[in-house]
Amino acid sequence: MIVLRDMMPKSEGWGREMGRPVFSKLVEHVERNPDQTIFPISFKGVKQVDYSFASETVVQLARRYKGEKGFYLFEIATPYIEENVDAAARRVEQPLVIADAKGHRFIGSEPSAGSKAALDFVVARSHARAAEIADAIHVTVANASMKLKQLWSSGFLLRRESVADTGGVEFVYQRIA
Amino acid sequence: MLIRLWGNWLRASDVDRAVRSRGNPFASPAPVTFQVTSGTKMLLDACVRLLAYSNQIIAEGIPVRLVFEDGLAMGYLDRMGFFDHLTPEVEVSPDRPVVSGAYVFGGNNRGLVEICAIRPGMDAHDLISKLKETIGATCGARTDFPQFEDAMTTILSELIENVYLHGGDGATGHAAFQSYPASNKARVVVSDNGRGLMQTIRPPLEDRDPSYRHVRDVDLLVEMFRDGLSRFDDPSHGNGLKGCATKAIRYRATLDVRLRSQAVTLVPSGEAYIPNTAILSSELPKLAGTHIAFELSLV
Repeated sequence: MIVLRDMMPKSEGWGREMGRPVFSKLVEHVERNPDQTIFPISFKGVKQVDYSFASETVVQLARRYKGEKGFYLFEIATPYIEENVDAAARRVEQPLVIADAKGHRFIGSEPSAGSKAALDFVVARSHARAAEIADAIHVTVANASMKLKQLWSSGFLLRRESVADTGGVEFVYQRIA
Repeated sequence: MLIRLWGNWLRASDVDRAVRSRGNPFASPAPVTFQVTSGTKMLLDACVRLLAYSNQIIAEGIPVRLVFEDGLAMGYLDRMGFFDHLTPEVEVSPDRPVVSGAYVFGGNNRGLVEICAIRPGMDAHDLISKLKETIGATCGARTDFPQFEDAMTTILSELIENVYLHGGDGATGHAAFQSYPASNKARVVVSDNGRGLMQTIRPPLEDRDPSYRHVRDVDLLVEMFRDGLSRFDDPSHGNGLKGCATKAIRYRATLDVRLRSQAVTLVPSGEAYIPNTAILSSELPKLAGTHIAFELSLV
């Protein structure tokens, strides 16, 4: 688990200048754990962040590892922190996951209307294959596969290779958190 | 050159108009006197604008004198720490206080106003924390205080960040906050003497997209505050001013931006600032830097 406050000099995060060294520490943590694909980031003890700090730290981190590693935020003390992270993520069309008592939800970029049902299905199940989604939302496997690929490349989901029943390779799409 | 400042609750735009009516104080080496007439009251943005003119004019080697006809405005400026930020070579009549009122009244009594210097290399965190104390002391009883405090500190931090981004090396400035309980208003002002918003944003923007050459400053400014614009070709930048506007508009804030030789006042229309309601003053005396003020309605 990453405790953001431990990487910050103070409990308020203001500006890009303060954000840059925090981003370096975040990257360092991720690189030190090459086998880990999902990283929880606790905001415990963080009292405030502005747009620039949020942009330079957690949003930039999610952008850098988009499709490869996932990050979810929790223990966010105020709705204003969430609002500012959300605005910074929207700016770059980057989704971010918040997982807390209210459940699993996305802030920042929103999924397209056409792929929302597929995303909801994966999030509810924690992981799914294209064929399962095609069945569930009544589309062809090719169409489900295309939606999932788009969700993965946009940063909403992760994926890993798996052996299909037919013996070939298929992707298993995985929720972040 | 004698520039008379007079009236009830002067705004920064009134200071600009008073200066413009007398010509360009930077144009000749003739001494410049700002005379604050008896009974004049000044809003925070007017005080910070007077500070900017005084410090910038004297930096050009032109003598500057501030004359106060009575103690009202001088006492107010003293309590906010105005004279602590005024270049020592600026002559003040009556004499500037031996001990700053900001120091004497510091802490509890200082009350409703805080003005802080922005200097290269300084810790913006300390500066914002200081302003945050005043925001808490003056507005802490608001039922929506956490939201209000977030809005004010986000606006201040993003605008101060902008000074470092657009001011260039060596830019200095001031950040200030004041609440006005009688009128249920608050003002946030950030002013600097750097290169200026348009001067730093326009060239790279026009290189990337030549159609911006035909966009008026006022329209560009509205776009900065409404959609976000950056000189960097990276979408993660350019969110600061837009974010300030998003927070400020919740308090139906009027936004004043003084550029090098023009000033723009934006009033919110619904959820955004739009060019149609912008008030533009042009051909103002050239003032270095960017000077941004929000007037927020606290009702």
